[in-house]
Amino acid sequence: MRVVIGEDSVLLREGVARLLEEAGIEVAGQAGDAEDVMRKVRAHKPDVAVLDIRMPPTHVDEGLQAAAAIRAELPGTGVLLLSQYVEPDYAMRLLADGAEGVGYLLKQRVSDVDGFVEAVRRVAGGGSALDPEVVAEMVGRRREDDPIESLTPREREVMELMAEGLTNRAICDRLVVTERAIERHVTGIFSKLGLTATGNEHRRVLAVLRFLHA
Amino acid sequence: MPAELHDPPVLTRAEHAVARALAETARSDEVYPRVLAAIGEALGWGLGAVWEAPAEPGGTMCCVATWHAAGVEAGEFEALSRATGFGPGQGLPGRVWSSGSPAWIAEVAEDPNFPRADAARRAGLHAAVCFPMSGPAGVLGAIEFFSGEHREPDALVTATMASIGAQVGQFVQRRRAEQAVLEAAELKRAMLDASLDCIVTMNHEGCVLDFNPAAERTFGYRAGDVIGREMAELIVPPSLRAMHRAGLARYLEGGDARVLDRRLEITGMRADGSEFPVELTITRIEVPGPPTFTGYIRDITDRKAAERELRESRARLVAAADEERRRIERDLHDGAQQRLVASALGLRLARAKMSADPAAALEALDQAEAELDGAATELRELARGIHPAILTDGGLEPALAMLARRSPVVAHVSVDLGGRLPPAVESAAYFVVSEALTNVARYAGAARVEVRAEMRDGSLALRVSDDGCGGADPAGGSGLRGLTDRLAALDGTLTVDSPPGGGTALRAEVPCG
Repeated sequence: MRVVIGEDSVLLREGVARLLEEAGIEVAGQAGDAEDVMRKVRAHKPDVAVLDIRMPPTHVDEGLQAAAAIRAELPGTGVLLLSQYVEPDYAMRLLADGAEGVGYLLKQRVSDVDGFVEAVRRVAGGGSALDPEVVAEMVGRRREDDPIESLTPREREVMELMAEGLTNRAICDRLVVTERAIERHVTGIFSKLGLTATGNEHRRVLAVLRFLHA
Repeated sequence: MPAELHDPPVLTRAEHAVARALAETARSDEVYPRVLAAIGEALGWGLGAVWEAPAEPGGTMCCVATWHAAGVEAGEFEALSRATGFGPGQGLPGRVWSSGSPAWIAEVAEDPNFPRADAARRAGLHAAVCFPMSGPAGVLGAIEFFSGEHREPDALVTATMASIGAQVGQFVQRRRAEQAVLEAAELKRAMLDASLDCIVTMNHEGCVLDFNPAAERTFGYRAGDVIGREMAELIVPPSLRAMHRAGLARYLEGGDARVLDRRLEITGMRADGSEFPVELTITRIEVPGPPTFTGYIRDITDRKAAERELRESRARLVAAADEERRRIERDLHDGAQQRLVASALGLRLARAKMSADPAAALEALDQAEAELDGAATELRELARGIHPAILTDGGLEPALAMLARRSPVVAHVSVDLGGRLPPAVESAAYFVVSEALTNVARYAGAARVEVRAEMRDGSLALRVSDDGCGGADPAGGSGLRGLTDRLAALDGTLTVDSPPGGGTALRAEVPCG
């Protein structure tokens, strides 16, 4: 697997590169700004581009724009965005075109090496990875007649992991229960939230996120 | 043509009649008909008119008065004259205006430069004479007369009429000058009356000569009650009277003019004895004789209060900024810094235990990692509290949405701004909503809170309203006070409406221009 890294902080860029290389992932290119990222992604066609949201020149949302460009130009390349702070709107903008091969993590998450590498692999494989804190902020939001209140604690746990982008398989590993039990919880969640549980993993992720964001 | 027309007694009678008319009339618009009648009747003309030259260059002469002898039917001709304007050289009056000399036409219907010829023929007019009305400043107009008979020019009559024209011209010019003086005095009175500043005039003995309506309002006296009294005992506080009197005496002795024509800030006194700050400028009026002084006085109570409020709010802002820096320092010291130190200790411990006790080393590393993670989280939260990045990047809409998501009370946000606002406005608005939501969660006992942000007449209008118990102190706690100061620095305002049991609505307005 090969990645291109776009991050203007050299310290963090080198750190991420080293960490990925040690996990056996090839770092095909490193860039310090959005333009350089696009050049290197086009040249190397990596499995994943790991991008900082804020990059030169304006430090606003260059990473987000680069992500949209990459997804339009090279649908086979996953994008994993790193953000300094939690912003569900950014996550939702990113997911607006589908949840395949998309990730949004806090920069801080990089220090959990195993979790980070797993997220990179998931995005490279066409899955999604949403930061638990983004999910927590969306789930934690208070609303009137909140249907989330009707979920059991276990269902809520499952829903949060599902929103993060974990597959049923990964969720049962995490919670140490059978896949059968997870499927039962998922069905319960979808009926309580009034969602239709059709289709693949990605569609389920999107359905849950749109529900949370609404 | 009457044979006696150029008789000296007849001419003298005409001159006398005009002199009497001038002596008995005060206003120029009243004198014209009498002059026309005096000349017309004395010299046997049937119809006369006065034409005034325009005040501005480029204008035309206007007929301002007409007269006709009893039995003369010339209504159409008079109306035409009054409706006609003549430029220099045009028609009979224009000709006289240009030349400054009298003109005689024996037969108007045959004259090449007489535009009113048709109407004159219908009125049965034949001969005409016109002479200038001139004063020291030049030709002011012209006076014309018509006869129903053919009349040949007569040098003596013409000369008499020229002399009468000069008399009338001088009279008119003098009246106009007097009128101008009168109008200037009226204008001055109107200015004194309409002035927002108090204008008080006193003589060299310090007695009030004039006290305008603004002074009446400000000091609480009627002009009629104060004129003639010593000004010092009326509007100067007792503590300053000696100084005032000494200053006036000093000026009168040696002309020490240190207080004249300068803006002074001093204390004034109302009729009820209350004192208040005023701004004062004294000028000496140049009149012959002993000097007269005019004081322009403005009540600056409001301005002084505003200045004090500004100073205090500035001080509060500085104090709040200091407090904020101390809080950040405390948070850094108690939080992230401690965690970083703990983490460094953990790393050192891990290195020490590495070979002897790998399990303990691993545990120390886990610990260090957890502390670093905690430090990163705390720094992120701290940075968000100082200035949320989402506000910088995305503006008010996503920033308020984030506040709503984090609000413990159900919050609905609607934002209609049509774009980004100046950074200082966005920032103030964000902290207003943040503080308001915190207060709602703490005190209001509300089930839901509504946040609205919209543009109204170039200002950002914010409204945070809840359905809680109301009864909040409108003066607000220190938090709201700080926000009021912050908004005031942007010319904005903050109001709190919180009737007991009726929920609380906080409104802020900030101009964005």
